[in-house]
Parts: sequence; C-alpha cells; structure tokens
Amino acid sequence: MICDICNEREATIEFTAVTANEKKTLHLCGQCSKQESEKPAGPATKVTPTHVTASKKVNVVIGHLAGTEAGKGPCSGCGMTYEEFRKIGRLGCSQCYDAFGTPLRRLLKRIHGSDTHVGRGPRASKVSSPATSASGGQPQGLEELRQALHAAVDAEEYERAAQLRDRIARLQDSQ
Amino acid sequence: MKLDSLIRTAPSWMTGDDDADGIVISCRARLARNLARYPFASRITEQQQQEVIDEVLAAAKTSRSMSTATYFGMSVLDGDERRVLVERHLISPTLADEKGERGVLFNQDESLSVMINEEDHLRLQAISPGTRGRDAFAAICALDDELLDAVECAHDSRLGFLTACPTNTGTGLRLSALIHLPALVLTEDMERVLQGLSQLSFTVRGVYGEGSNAAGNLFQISNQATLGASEENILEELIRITEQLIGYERQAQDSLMKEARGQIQDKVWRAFGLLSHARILTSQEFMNLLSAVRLGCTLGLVTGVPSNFLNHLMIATQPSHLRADAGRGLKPAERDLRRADLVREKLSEVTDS
Repeated sequence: MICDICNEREATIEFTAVTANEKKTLHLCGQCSKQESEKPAGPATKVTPTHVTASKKVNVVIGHLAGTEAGKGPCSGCGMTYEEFRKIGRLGCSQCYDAFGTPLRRLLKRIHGSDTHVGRGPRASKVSSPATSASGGQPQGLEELRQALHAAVDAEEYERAAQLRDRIARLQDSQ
Repeated sequence: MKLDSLIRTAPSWMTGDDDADGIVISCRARLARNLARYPFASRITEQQQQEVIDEVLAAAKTSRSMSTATYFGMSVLDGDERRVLVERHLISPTLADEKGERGVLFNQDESLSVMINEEDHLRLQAISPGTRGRDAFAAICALDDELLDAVECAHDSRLGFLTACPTNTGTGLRLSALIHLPALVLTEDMERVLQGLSQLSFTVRGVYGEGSNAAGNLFQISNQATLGASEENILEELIRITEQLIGYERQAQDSLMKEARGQIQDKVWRAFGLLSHARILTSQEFMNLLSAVRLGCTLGLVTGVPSNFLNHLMIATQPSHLRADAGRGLKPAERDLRRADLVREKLSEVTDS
C-alpha cells in the first residue's frame, strides 16, 4: 500500500483521525506520519494519531471550563497559570492541585465522574483501605471524616458538614 | 547492541504454562506516581530528573521485587534500541522520544517495569499472561508498597495520588486486557460491543498502546476513570467485562462455525499455509494472518501451536526486533522479506516437533 500523503513511499502506519462527526483512516509512511503527529493542532480535518486526540479531549474540556475561571493561580510551587495548564493539559507540580482549586476539581469531576479518591494511599497513612478502617485506627478515622467533610461541603450539605466538623473536633480533642 | 540477549527470546513472563485459549493475550496494570519534592515533567530540570532517578534506583535496590532489576538510561541507548523496548511493552513511545534524563528499570522476566521521568516521575507496570489480571494487580501493589515505603509520594487525602495529567489523578491506575476478538469483527458485532463498553467508562485502543488502530483483531480494553472507584473495584470491573467479552466472542465463534464452518476452516488453513510458505509479509498482512491462525487455535482446528508462541512471534516480527536481529538498518521491503523468513523458521520449529 502506498502512503496517502506523499503517494510515494510505502505505507507502514495506519492513522485514525477522529473529527467532530467522522472517523477517518489514512495509510501513511513512517516519514509522513511523523510529520503529521508533530504538527500543532490544525483544522478539524487534520489527521492525528489517537493519543493526540485523547490529550486534546482533555484540553477541550479544560477550555470549556476555563472560560469562567480565568485568572486562577499562578501556582506558588511552580508558577504555572491556569491559562498555561489549559494550553498544555498537564499540571506543573503537585501544588497546582491547590492553586487551581475549584476549576480543577470541577474538571476532575467531569473527567472521572467524581472528585474524591477512594482506594490506596501511601502505607503510613492509608486513607480508606477497608481493612484499616475496620480496625478503627484513629488517624484513619480522622482522615476519613475530613474527606467526608470536604464532600459534604462540596455537595452543599451544610447540616451534615457541621456534624462532621463537630465529630472531627471531638476526635482531635480526645487525642 | 546492549539489548542483544533480549532480541531473539520471548519475554519470559510470556513463556510459562500455556493454559490460555488465546482469546485474552495478556493483562497489564499501570500506576502513575510522583515524588513529592519535585515538580512534574513540564517543569522539572535535568538536574532534578537525575535526582529522581537516583532516589528511585536506591529505593528499588532495597525492594524485593526489583533488587536485581536492570536499569537502562535512555541516553545510553540509540533510537533502534529504544524501539526494541517499546515493542516489548517495557517503555512507552513518550519515554523513548522525549529529551531529558529518563530511563527504565525492569526485572529479569520483564513482567515488572518502572519508567522513570515519563509523563509522571514513576510509571510502574506489571504484566501477566492470559486472563491473569489479578496476578498483575497483586504484583503492582506489592511493588508500589515497597517503593512508597522508601520515597515520599505526591498524595492528597482527598484527591489521592497527584499526577501530571488530571486524567490519572486518584488511583493513578490503568488496568488493561489485550483481547483477540476475530469472530465479533467478522460478524460485525464489534461496533455494538464497543459502544456498550464506552458507556461503562472503559476504553478501547489498538495493540501497541495508543496511536494505532487495532491490528489483527486485537483490542486493548482499559478503565478510563481513576478517581472515585477503588483499585479493587476497577480490577473486578475489568475482569467482569473481560469475561463478558470472552462470552460474546465464543457465541460469535459458535454461530460462525454453525453457519459457515467450511469458510472458517478455509480461512484458518489458508492463513496457516501463507504464514508457512510466504516469502514476503508486510506487518499488516502478518497480523491478519496471525489472527486467523489464532482463531484456528481457539477453535481447536489448529493444534500444537501454543498461544504464547503466537504472542512471541508478534513481538519478534516488529520492525526494530527484525532490524536488531539483522544487525543493520532495513528498508521496508527487506524487512518484509526477513519477517517472512523468521515466521517460516519459527513455525517449522513448532510444526515439525
């Protein structure tokens, strides 16, 4: 098969482009496929390997959300602005998560359908492993209460949040 | 060539007992982790990258699973050598191509690997043959625990593990199964199945990770969300979906054999004949023929060809493996000749014995 772009070399790579309404497959030679994937984002008809499309998807979501959230940051850890994050789709350091607070959390919710982690943590402070919380260890309890408090505030369940806050205070006092 | 010993042999995780029917090729688990004290990839300096490498290698030395692992810095490998590692699924194209201090640590049987300074400081990977996703998951958790004991990770009590891309935040876990679904493709039911999968927030990609179309009816199914579901839930969901897909594929195979037994047998044996005798094989043609032979094995039409043999052939016939085996650069046409030679040679080894 001959390359669809240069019509010269032998096609060795199959590229799938996902545009607004259609999926298009092209057969490209190594050289042309490399050029294609290195091009910056172009018109909707441009062919991109699917991983580029995937990271674009993130950028589109970020772009959509950022319209109302411009001016957040910059991050005190690495200096990244929300604008810059929007452009490259990658955060600069772990502190960006704090710096971009609400818009980032909204983005996370949009990507994952949730903005609260469930599962493993570093061993010293395993957050919500069923085994450790069942044992009733104090730090886990406190950590879980704090998580629940965050979630309640976000869900605007203020009554529940107040209860949780009181329980955290009591637990801290007792330690 | 520093990777000489790898080229002609199959990764040994692949060569164990072959109890698989060939429908699920392998399962992979990947964890994204970052060290707390360093900026992410877009902001890190080469000096800091080196410190990350030093810290991780020191941590790995004290771990049980990686104490005897081999480390390759990308800077000591040329482009072809890096491609060999990509073809063996040990590193990603990103790690191979980007600049800066990067590397990979992997154990003897290539079942466990740690990419250092990819998009995240650490990308841990465990791979296991067939449907043994639980094994890969257990291995990656053990390695994760050992490394996290030794290095301080970027973690937040509410958001979980913090990653460079928000699509990995939380568990940082991507679990995937590589599945061969020829009958679903033949009966044109695949589109429907794919649509169902996307509603379950699982995604489908081509064989060699991202960026390629599914060659040879091979699909990689993996979870999309990393936040909000525990690792165990993601694992159970992947296993459930994998079993469901195996069920659909078997149904489609049964109906094909009922309605078109002669045609299917013909397709399988023609493919077998071509692989056994062809003198030129493009990678696309090879993948399609291999798919037909694999279907023949699953259906019990072809016997004596283990599925791990087919899996190794898939790696050995990749461009960089062929080039490394030849010891020189190959033009695409030469590559296709060598691919056919290799396939004939290997196939005669199993069919003659």
